[in-house]
Formats: sequence, C-alpha cells, structure tokens
Amino acid sequence: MAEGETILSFHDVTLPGGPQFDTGLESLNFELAPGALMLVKVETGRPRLPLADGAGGLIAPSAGRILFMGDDWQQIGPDQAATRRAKIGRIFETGGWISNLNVTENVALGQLHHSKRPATAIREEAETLAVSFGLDGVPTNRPTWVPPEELCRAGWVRALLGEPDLLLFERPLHEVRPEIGKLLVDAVGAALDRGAAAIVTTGSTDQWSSVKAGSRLSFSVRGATLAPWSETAS
Amino acid sequence: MMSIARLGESAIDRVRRICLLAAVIWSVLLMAFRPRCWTRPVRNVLARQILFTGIEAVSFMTLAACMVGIAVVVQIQFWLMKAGQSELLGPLLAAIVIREVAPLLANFIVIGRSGSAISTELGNMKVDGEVRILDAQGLDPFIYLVVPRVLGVAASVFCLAVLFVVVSLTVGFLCGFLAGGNTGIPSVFIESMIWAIQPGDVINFLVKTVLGGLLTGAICCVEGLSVGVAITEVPQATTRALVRSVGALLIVSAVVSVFTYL
Repeated sequence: MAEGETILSFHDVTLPGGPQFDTGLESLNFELAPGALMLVKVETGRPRLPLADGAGGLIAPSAGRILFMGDDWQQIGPDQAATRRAKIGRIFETGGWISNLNVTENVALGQLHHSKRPATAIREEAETLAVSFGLDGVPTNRPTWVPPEELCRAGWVRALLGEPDLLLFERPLHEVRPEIGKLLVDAVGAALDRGAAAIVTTGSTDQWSSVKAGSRLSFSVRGATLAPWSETAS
Repeated sequence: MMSIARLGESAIDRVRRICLLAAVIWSVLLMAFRPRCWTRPVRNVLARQILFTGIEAVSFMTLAACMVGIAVVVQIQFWLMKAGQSELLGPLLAAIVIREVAPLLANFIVIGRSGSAISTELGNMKVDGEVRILDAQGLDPFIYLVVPRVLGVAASVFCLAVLFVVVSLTVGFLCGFLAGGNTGIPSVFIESMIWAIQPGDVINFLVKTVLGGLLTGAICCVEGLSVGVAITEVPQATTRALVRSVGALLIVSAVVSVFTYL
C-alpha cells in the first residue's frame, strides 16, 4: 500500500447496538495510517462493541462514513466488500470458529478462498506462525475439542495469516497467560512495522504498552462514546 | 372482511416465497457459471455435499431400487404376460419407473437424509454466529453455503435416480427370469426398454430430478438461514423445510407429468 495512505477512517460514525453487542457507539472520529495502533479499553463485563464489525463493513453505521482503503463500505458492492475483507485479520470476541471444519481448515479458510497461493505454502506459513506462538503446530481437531488457550492462539494464527493490512483484535489476550500474550504483542509490533494498522480492544492496556507503533490512539469506552485516554496517566 | 384479508395475506406470502425460491435458484445457476466463485473452499463444500447426499445414499438407494424392482417390475411382467401384451413391457416400465417412481423416490430419500441435515446445519450456524464469521473473513455466505449445497443436492438426486432406474430394472428382470416369467434374453429386454424411452421421457426425468433437487436444496438452505437467534427455531425451520420440500416436489412432479402426457 502507498506510503501515507490512510487504511481506515471513521467520520462522525454512529454504530447501532443490538443483541450481539453490549452498547452502541456514537461520534467516532479517527484515522489509522499504516503503522498506527488504536487501543480501546473496554468496560469490565461489557466487552462486546460494534467497532470491529463496523470497521470491517459488516454493519452499516446509522450515521457517518467508514472508509477502508479509501472506499466507503456502503458505496461498494458485496463482491468488492468480500475482496476487501481478505485484507483484514480478525480475532473475534466470541472465538469465531466454523464448527464443522477442523481448526486447520478454519485457519486456512480465508487464504484458500481469496488467494491463489498453493495450499502447502499457506499451511507452512500457518505452522510457522503457530510455532512462533508456542504451539506445536496448528491444532487438527474440531474447535470444540481444542483447549481454550490453544484455540485462542490458533485464532492469532488465522488473524495474521497472509499479512493483512488491518488487524481487528477483540480482547485477544483475555484467555491466555501473560507470558504467552507477549508473543502476540510482539507479532502485532512486527505487523505494524511492515505497514499494517491495528485496532485492539482490551480489558487492560498494560501488555500493549511495549508495542512500538507509528502512531498510537488510546480510548476507553464511556457509555456509548470512546473517550481519549492516556495510558501513562493510568 | 378479516378472513378475506387473511386469505389475501396468505396468498401474497406464498407468492413472495415462490419468488424468493426462484431468485435463489436463478442466482445459484448464475454463480455456477462464474469461475471465480469456485474457489478451493467452495469446491470442497460441493465435494462434501455430493459425498454426503449422493455417495453415502448409494447403498440405501440400491436397496430401495431392489425392493421396487421386485415389487413393480416383476408384477408388470406377469400381468402383461397374462394379458398377452408382453410387447408393452418397455413402455410401461418407462412410464412407471423412469417417469414417476425413480425421480420421486430419489427426491424423497434425499429430502429425508440430507434436507433435514442441511437446514439443521445452516440453522445452527446462523444461531452460533458462524454465518457472520464467514462474512467477516470475506466469504460470501451465499457462495460458500448455498451455491455448493443446492448444486450438490441437484447432482446427487439426478445420479441417484439414474442408479435407481438401472438397479430396479436389472433386479426386476432377474427376478422375473428366476420366477420363470417370459422375460426373454437380456439384450431383448434392454432393447425394448431403449426403444420405449421417448425424448419426452428424458426431459421429464431431467426436469423432475434436477429441478426437484434444486428446489429441495434451495428450500432447505432458505429455511435454515431464516433462523433468528434462538436455538429453538432450528427444529421448527427443519420441519418447515421438509414439509415445503415434499410439497414442492409433489407439485413439480404432478405438473411435469401432466405436461408429459399432454
């Protein structure tokens, strides 16, 4: 992607709440350039935000515009939107696994669909990432049969596979021990170095303080708004 | 007035549902001819659907074909011989087995085995948020979930119906022969069958199997994906899918038969 081009921008966006979210969000204004990290500290017991769904064009804002790679999600067709989403790596608040596929198939699904890379190359990249996260390899069982911590790390592998331009991570560390969480924090740092941008929701920003980002935005959720927040002041 | 209004609402609802099904089938056929829709995961889903719906049903379909072969073909042979009309064997078998029994039974077996599985699977995926997860990864749920399932069901119904015809006629011939009926030599039996099959029979068979399969696949996918957020909606959707699939099959079968005989 071109130097200086904005990856994601929200312009006066209001995202509606719904049964799958704990709150809607109002008056969102921010831009993420390559290398930018946006941390969102969620309230305890209310972690489900429509932010990642809005950023990925899955829900339409009730007001404002969301631009990804310069295009408004609402102005592009479903085919184009699907192609754009291939450039987004996501860790879901709810796990986000297809239950009738095993974890290996789940991890490679997006890449196999969107790219023409050989399956072996995708599998090798996934295995390398899995090993870098302290796994023996990508688990081969169905998601329900994999221990939560391993499944969580397999989710990291899926999100980082294929070097996505935008990372949307919803509380990626809440099911792992801190020493394992550091492996993801380092991987996110490396992704920002190569020009990706990231939005990370988290219960605690402590672990993310070590990430070196081109620019850094920190917010905390206050009701239905994101209030700027200083990590050092916490 | 209220009852008339309700009647009208029900009629409009039915027309809407038919339009939706037609749109789904049309879109599936359009997508089927777009090579870029056939990515590796979509091809994989199609292969699995054909495996579950077609290949895994082969043994049951063979058994059903044997039973029908024994029950129907043998009886026709004997009654025709008694009536001194053995030359009608080919046309009668074509009319009964190829035009009616094979397409209907193949469709019924697929509805019972796979229709319920498809609507339950998709309903559960919807409730668990897996459809949204596919969308978030840039996999169009229609292309990934609906297109390969509908086409897989249609292809399976067609192949199972062909298998049914071959097995039931073979078993019927063998049983008639073993029971001492005047079946003649196999080549004459096959020849009489081939001569009896008219182009109309082929079209009738194709429409009943392929359209029947497309309808079953589309109805089960639509009902499965119509589930909202409650797990209790899944069995209701499955029941609806089965009842509507059977209804659609009977209507298609009757309409096509009428047009064949006109």
